[in-house]
This record gives sequence, structure tokens and C-alpha cells, in this order.
Amino acid sequence: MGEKVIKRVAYSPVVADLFHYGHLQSLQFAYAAADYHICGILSDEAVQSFRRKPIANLQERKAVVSNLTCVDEVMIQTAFDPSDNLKKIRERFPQAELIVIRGSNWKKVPELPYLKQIGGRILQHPYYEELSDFKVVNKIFEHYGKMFRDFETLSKFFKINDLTSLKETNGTTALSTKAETLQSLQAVLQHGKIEKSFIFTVAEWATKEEEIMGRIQKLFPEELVVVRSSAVQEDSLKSSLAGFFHSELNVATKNGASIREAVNKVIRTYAEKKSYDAKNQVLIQRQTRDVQCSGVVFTRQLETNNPYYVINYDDLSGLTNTVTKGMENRVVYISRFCEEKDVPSPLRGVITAVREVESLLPTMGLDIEFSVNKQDEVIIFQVRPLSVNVKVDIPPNIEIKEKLEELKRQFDAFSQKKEHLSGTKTIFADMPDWNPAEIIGDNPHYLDYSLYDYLITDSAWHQARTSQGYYNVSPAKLVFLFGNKPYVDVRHSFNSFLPASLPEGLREKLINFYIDKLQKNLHLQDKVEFEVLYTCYDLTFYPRSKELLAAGFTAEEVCCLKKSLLQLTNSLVSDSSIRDDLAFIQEKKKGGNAPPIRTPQACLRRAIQLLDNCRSSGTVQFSRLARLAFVGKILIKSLVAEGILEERYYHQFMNSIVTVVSKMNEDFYSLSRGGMAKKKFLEKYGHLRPGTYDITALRYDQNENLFGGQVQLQEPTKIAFSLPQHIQENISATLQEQELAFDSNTLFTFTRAALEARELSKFEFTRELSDALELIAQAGRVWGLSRESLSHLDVDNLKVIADIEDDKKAESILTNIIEHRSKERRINDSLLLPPVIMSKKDIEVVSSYRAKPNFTTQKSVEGEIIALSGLNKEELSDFTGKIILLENGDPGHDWIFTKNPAGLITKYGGVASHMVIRCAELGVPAAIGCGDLFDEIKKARKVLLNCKEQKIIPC
Amino acid sequence: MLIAISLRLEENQQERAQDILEHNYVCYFEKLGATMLLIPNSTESIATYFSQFPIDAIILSGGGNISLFPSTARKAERPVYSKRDALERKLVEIAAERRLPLLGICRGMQLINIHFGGGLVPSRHPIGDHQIRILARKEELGRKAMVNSFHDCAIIKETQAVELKPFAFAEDGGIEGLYHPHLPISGVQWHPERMSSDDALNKTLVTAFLKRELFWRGGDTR
Repeated sequence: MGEKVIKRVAYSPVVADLFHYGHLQSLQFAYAAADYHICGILSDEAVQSFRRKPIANLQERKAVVSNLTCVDEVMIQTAFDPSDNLKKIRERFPQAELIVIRGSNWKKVPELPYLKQIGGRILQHPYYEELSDFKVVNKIFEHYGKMFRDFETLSKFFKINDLTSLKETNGTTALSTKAETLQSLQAVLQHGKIEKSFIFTVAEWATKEEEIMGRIQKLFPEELVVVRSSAVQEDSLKSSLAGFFHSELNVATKNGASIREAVNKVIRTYAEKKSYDAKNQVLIQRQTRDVQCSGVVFTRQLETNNPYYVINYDDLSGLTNTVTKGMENRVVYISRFCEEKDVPSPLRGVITAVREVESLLPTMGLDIEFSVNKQDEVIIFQVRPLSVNVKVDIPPNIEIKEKLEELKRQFDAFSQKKEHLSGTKTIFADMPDWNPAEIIGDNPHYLDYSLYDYLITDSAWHQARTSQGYYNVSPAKLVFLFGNKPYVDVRHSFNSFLPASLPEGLREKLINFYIDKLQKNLHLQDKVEFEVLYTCYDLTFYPRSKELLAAGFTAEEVCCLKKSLLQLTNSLVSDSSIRDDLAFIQEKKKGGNAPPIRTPQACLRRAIQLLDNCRSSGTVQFSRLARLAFVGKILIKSLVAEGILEERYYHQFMNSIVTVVSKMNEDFYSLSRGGMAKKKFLEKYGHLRPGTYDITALRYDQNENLFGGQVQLQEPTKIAFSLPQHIQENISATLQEQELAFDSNTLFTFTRAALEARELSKFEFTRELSDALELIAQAGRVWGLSRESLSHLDVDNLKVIADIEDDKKAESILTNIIEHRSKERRINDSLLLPPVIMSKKDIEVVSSYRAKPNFTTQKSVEGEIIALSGLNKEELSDFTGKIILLENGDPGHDWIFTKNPAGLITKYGGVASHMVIRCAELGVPAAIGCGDLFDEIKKARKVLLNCKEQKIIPC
Repeated sequence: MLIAISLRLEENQQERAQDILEHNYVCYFEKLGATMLLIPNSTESIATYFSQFPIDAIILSGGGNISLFPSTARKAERPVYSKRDALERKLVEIAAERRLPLLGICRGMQLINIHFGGGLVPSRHPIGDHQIRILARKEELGRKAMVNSFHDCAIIKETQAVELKPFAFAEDGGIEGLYHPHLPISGVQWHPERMSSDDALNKTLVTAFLKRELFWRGGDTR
């Protein structure tokens, strides 16, 4: 049968809030009235432009309508007037008659002029009066109105409907007090257990103390009990005073005096907290024994209301109150959509029990205190309403759920075996290798990621390694986004560190070994080059390679690996390789002045040219130099590890390196003394920005505050480095013994040159990148797009736009992309993602590991902390004596060193990261890459940073 | 506007089967600006009709009874041809699939009801004009009207297909108008083309059918 001709298109503009029978009728009417039915769902904003805000949001409303058989297509209508959508439909179906379906309650319709113009018409459908908002509200009042005094009791009636059967103790609400909550739950819970308990009021205690004592001793003979407060205020719906009162653990019932004392103590705290109320209760509960794990679950994330179970728990100490007291503490975030089978034991049982409690107390955020005993039984101690953050909208759950599913599919797709690479599986981590969390942060703008990808992690990274004698992994991208968060594909990274000369079988075995090792030691993820991989030959090879033999590698295989590494290392450690790449960069530095640019398109074309330039002659060289610097550092560290070089010499050496930043520091000192003009200073360093890839971060030359204020700087000092002759000889002998083809002097000279060249090459390519960002911003200004808006674009978008001469068209394409991406970003912002994804489950069960910070220098300092993210401009004056907290210290943050900080603590950053090198070089004590510990430190006011003992103590 | 119309299948005096269309249909619909395309009683070539002609709407014509209920058939129709049923059911399927408006007249309405799972009973009222009540809410139709009647079988509440909805009743409870809630399919028990006494109603009905205004969906009647 031939294709159906669409002669008539129906368009139904609907809000479809709380979809009901009347909506269905109207949409079915529209479906039957035409060959093709498009339903236009009004966006939340469009609805609010003419009536109250819908109860269901756009996504929820759209999801319902999209699944109806009587709707052929769904469009979003962003204005009260559907004419824009009608125009689009008209373009798609120029021959068809266009009908707009309106309910008979519409008197004037905004689309009429347009419809008249194109010969379309309005078709009215009888308005379904029965379920109109007006009628619904009326019905509710008619049926229930007389049963309730006021609105609050009325709404409560609907809110906790399911609980009517639970309300035995007294007739008020479900969560009247802790004690009553527990009692009412006791009868109905199947998965959670409530310990035997007994409640009495403060008033009862005053009059019938002896009787109560008798009952306690009868109810809990020879047992330990907990005596808890249960204030009338404590757990009411409006305020939660969690932990505000008192609980006494392990009270022996045998001893009457200790019970009396515990009860009186609880009652005293009521009085102390000025919340005396005769109705306040005391709860006696059997002490739970054989605890394997205890903690607290929030059924939503506290500040953001994101749909995660947040479980703070302690599975080590075997005590039941360590979490509420903030002692032992592990946190895991479990998506509310997660299937129970994906939750690891013993938390699986906790989730089951929590979900059961939730089903009894629907629509309420809860705060549940639990413990799991050795028999895997879940015991519930407390259920309180969670004081949700009313200022933040509850995020659209449907979208988050869909997004999580998408990420799981993405993980599956990326984990497929790759023919050209070794390794049966892969994992994704935020800090190995090119450490994206450090360079672009764990929540970069789309443009930041795209630029980083374009310049480095797409191909430059492996081109460099291939040219140096490592295995060619092409095609292989290094970094992928999951949601907004960048992750390194560990298999791609590790393959690129294999010497090219290794046979295939050994390659496969090594990669599987490496990935396995990292999986078991997640805290090594920012130190993989030093502690997981064999990327060059060093003096620790023999002791280290025992792990290979233990893991089933044969002696021949280890020998083969050694040979390949030796050969590779000997070819890498030579001045000539550094010289060539450095020459390339020096050449670039000269670059002529570009002609002035007029149109935004030309700005973009020039920006892309700069980026391409960076890529073709800049980032590959930089990557190569970075690898050489690593090799040098690994070798020198191995000298220390083997006891051939004292650690102090290592620090002296690192401190003696003169890079562009130590020069900048000198220049800044000179600037602060009036020795150097500001103009000249900014000419040299003006292109740097805190966030090298971030268009929203202003450059030094646009953000004078970074260099304002009076700073008393200490004159930077550089200690010359020299090794005593006998040590040099010893080192040279050892190197020779190990078949390394260079002597001590060559090694140190090489490492110094590599480190300095690496920093210089970075400084230089950053200049082009920075200029490119400014050109993009300039183009944006013409089109009225802010830097924030531009940050949603990617390099490909820019390339497309650069070729569109029609400004109107370019603008509309840009606006579309920006709108789409910013929406996407908002959803992604609601996701919590783990530092490492090892399996699909990790996307929904997000746990963290204890990171081991990389400490630099041997110093110890104590000082007030300053979190850079929350600072306003005025506070940027002087950091003397202060310890700076910074999420990710990328090179653009180097300005902080010009303000004389006492110490630095970062969340992200590997052992050989930019900030580690900087701090070593400048002698600033630092802990780089503290992971989740960072967030705890942030809460403190002062901190003691002891690098020698590797300790950070908040005080 | 091109309307495909199904034909009656009856034996003539020589007992030869003939595809027949009462001339009234042609006159009545042509006057309203439609062109009639006659579809013979065969499912063989039906696809060709729909691929070759830009058909806008379908009418299941009246006359005769349905093969499922042979006892009600009159002498001239015997044997009752199941071929017509097959063709018309196919037309209902096509209408549903391509969302073409389809109007069943008299036997046509009964066929629609049977197609969607309903049944028939013998009619309780004699041939001739009688009063019906229209349930559609649209003002001019929310009222009583007189229509003609030429049928032997009828649909009542108990035999109406669950999927369909009524929009007109006779005084004796027989259903006089039916429609599908989300397909442009409807049927009437009377013969609009035979000029019943309330011709205004016929005109509204047929015009709404041609323009797909679905007036019979006046709203829910619960």
C-alpha cells in the first residue's frame, strides 16, 4: 500500500498537568481529526506566563504525553502563543491543512491571526469540566473539608494517608516523636527490626518513678539498654533537632542507680536546652549487640535535594554511635533508582529496610539511624523527617534516572574489548596520567573539556609517546566525560606506556596486571607512573619486579620487560631530544603579529588557527618533554629509594630548578619593589589565567586584583645545587652496573633541562590557547553571548560557526546549542560521580577511597586556611601566613605564589603534577591531591600541615 | 474530495451476484462536493485502489444484512455474501491504519460494531420515521430529532462494542449513532442520503464527517 499522504495536521497546545481523562479525550479527538497529530507541551515558563505554575514539570508532563498512542509527535511550546511552532509545522507540511485543537473554554486564541493567514483553522473540543482544577479543589473540600480544622491538617491527611493504620499510640501525626515513630513502625516493618523499647514522659517519671523503674527492670532483665531523649520538638515535621539532646549507651538494667542517673541526665538536657515540656519523652531501648556496621541514612542529599541515599557509616569500630558523633566515617551515595542487587552487603539490607520505611512515609525526606548486626539484621533506631532544603527545587528525577542509565550504557560501550589494544577490561579514573581532575577540574565547562581534548587528550598525547618508542595506541582518546566529569580511560593510558618492542602476549599480561593492581589500590591512581606502571627502567626494577613473578609472570617475561625498558630508557635520556623540541618552541615564540580582525566569524577562524597551531607545533612537543621530565624524576627518585642518594639532595635539586614561574616570582618581587613596571610584567605574564582552559576565568591582564594590594614579599632565593664528588661517582657506578648508558651528571642535567623545558613549552602553548579563548570571547561579544554562554560550546561548534557568514543564522545555531547544553549541564550537576568507575554499579553506588596526598618539602606549618573558590576580590591581597585551599591547581593558579602563601592544599593533583613541582621548586609546604579529605579540611578554620610526617590536622 | 464507498452485494432474478450502489448516495454526496469512488466487493484489488487514488474518506454503504446473522437476512439477499463483510472489514482496518475518516451507514454502522467486537439483535422498531435523541453536546444537536429507519437488526447497549461510544439513541433503546473515541470512525443507523424529515441534522452530520470535525464526540456522557 502506498505511503500515506498527510493532508491534515492537528496541533494541540496543552499543559497536561496531572494528566487526566479530560486531557486524554481532547488528545484522542485531535488524533482522530487529522492524519498527523502533534502535541505541543507548554514549557514551565510558558505556563507561568498566563496561569499558576504547573505541579508536574515539563519533563514529567512530556513523558506522559509522549507515551500516548494518540499522539504522533511531541513538540515543546515555549510561549503562550503557539505560532512559532505552527510556523515550523507549516514548513514541514506546506501542503497540509493545519488545525489547532482548543478546548471549548477558550474564548480568544493567540494563534488566530497566523492561522487565518495560512488558511488553517481552530477546532474546538468540549472542555472536560468534571476534572477541571476548580472542580477538583471543590470536590476535595466537599468530601473532606468538614473533617479538618485548617489547611494544614487537611494537607496532612493526604500526605500520610498510608499511615492511618500505624497511628495507635496517639492520634496525631506519624512522626510525632522519635519514640512513637519507632513504636508505630515496629508493628509493620518486615525488613527492619526495632529493638524492644519502652517509653514514658517526663511528667510520668516525676510522679511514678518507682513504677517505671520496676517495669524497665522487668522488660529488660539482665540487659544493656540505651536511654534516649525523645523531645516533642525534636522530631516534629518543621524542625529537626537531630543530636540536640542526649543518648546514654550501655546502661545495665541490673544497676538501678545507673538507670536513674541516665534518665535524669536526659531530662536535665531538656532543661538545659530550654525545651522543657512535660510531654517530652524518655525512650529505653535494648542495646544492640554484635554490630558489624552502623550509621545514618539520608534519603536525599542534604543541600541539593538530589535523589541519592546518603549513607554515613562505620564498619570498623563496632560501636553504634560513632557516626552521629562524627568519628569514624565513610560515606557512600546510592542513587535512589539503584537496584538492591547492585548495592554491596551489608548496605543492601539497609537500603531494603529504608525503602520499606519510605513506603510507609511517602513523599517525605527521612533521616534514619541504623545498625546491622552480625546476623545481617538491620536495626532501626530512629526515623526523623529530613529538613529538606526548601530553597532548592527538587531536581527532575526522571531525567536523572535516564541520565544514569545512559552513563551505564556508555560504560558498557567503552569497556568493550578493543582489537588494537591489550587488556580485557578497563576502568575510568579521574586522576591518572594527564590528570584531568587537576587540569580542568572535575566539573569543567564543556568548552574546557573540548579544548583539552582537542589540544592534548584526543591524539597529541599518544603521538608523543609513539614517537618516543612506546606502543602506538591510535586511535585512542585518553579522556572521556561521564556526565560533566572527565575520566581517563585507564586501558588507553596504560597501553600507551608499554614499550613498543614488547611481544603481544606479554603486553596483554602486563595490562591486565596493571589494571588489577590499580583496582586494588585506588589511592595510587594519581601516582600510576611511579607505583603501578613500568614506564622506564630505574634502579628499583629488581625489588619491584618481584611482584610480577608473584603474579605469575615467568623469569623470561620479566627479563624481556627489563630489556625493553632499558633500551627505551637509554634512548630517551639524551639532551638531543630535549633540544629539538625546545628549539621548535623557541621558534614559535617569535611568531609575527596577526592582522586586525573585524567580524566575529573571522575571530573564530583565527582562534581555530591558533588552536591548530598549538596542536601541530606545541602540545606534542610539550607532551614529549613532560614524559622526559617524568623519566628523569623516576630515575632520581629510584636513587633515593635505593639509598644511593639522600632525600635532602633530591629536595635541593628540585628546589634549584629555574622555570618560568620562579622567574615570574622574581619579576613579581621586582614589581612589588618598583623595579619592574606593571605593564612590562603583564606583557610577559598577562596571558595566564586561573584555569588555563576556562574562558570564564579572566586573564592576569584583565584581573588586576590578582596583583593589587601591598605585599611584603620575601626575596625568592634559589639554592644552587651540587652533589659531592663521591656521591656522583657512586651514582655513575650504579647506573653503569645497571646497564644504563648515562652517568650521574648527564642524568641530573637531563632532568633539569627536561623539567625546565616542559614548563617553558607549557607556558608558550598556553599563550596561544589564551589568545584563542579571548578571540572566542570577542566573537561572543558581537553576538551578545557572555563567556558563561560560550563555555557551553565545543571546538567543532566553533568550526561550524566560523563558516557561517549570515550572523542571524550563526546566532540562532549558537543559541540552540547553548540552550541544549546548559540544560544537559543542569541535569549532570545533579549527579554524584565516583573518583573511579570500575563497573556499571559504581555509577549508582558512589563510594570514595581514602586518598594519599602528595606532600612536598619537609616543612611543617600551621595557619588559617583560605578557600580560594569562595573569595571575593578584596580578599585577594595577601596570603602571608595563610594556607591556601584550592580544588585543582592548574598552572594558571601560579599567581598565588606571588602572594606569599604559607602552604597549599589541593583536592586534585598527582605526585608529579604541576603544583607538586611548583611547591617543591618554591619550597612551599603542600599536600596535593587530598581527595575527599579536602572537603573535611575545608570545614576547619586553621590547619596544621606537617609534610615531614605526612599529616594534616585540622584545628 | 474523493470518497471510497462500499457496494451492496445481491443476487438478481437470474441469481447472479451484483455489486450495486443505490443512486441516492451518488446524488447526495456529489451535491456536497464529493466525488464517489466505488469499491467492488473483493479484497484482492483493495490495496491498488488506495495506492492509485488519493482517497480522503470512506463510506460503508447501507442495504442488506451482515453474514454473521443470516437468520435476519431477507430473501433477496440470500445467500448472504460474506465477501462484502470481508471487504468492509478491510476498509475499517485501512481507515484505522491511515486514520481516514470512515462513516458507516445503517448496515455500515453495524459492521463497525461487529468489527470492534460487538453484536446485533433484531430491531424493535418498524421501518419508518422515528424519534432519536442525540447525546453530543454541541448545542444544535443536544436535542431530539426525527430520522428514517430501514433496518432489520439493531445495536443495543448490551451488544455495543466496548471500544466504541454511542452518540444517538432511539426511544426504544436502540443505538442510532456510534463512534470510536480515538479513530475518525463513526456510524449512523439511519440513512442520511434518503432525506429523512430532519435534513438539517443530516447535513451537519455529513459535513462534519467530510471536514473531520467529529461533532459526535460531544463529550463524555458518564
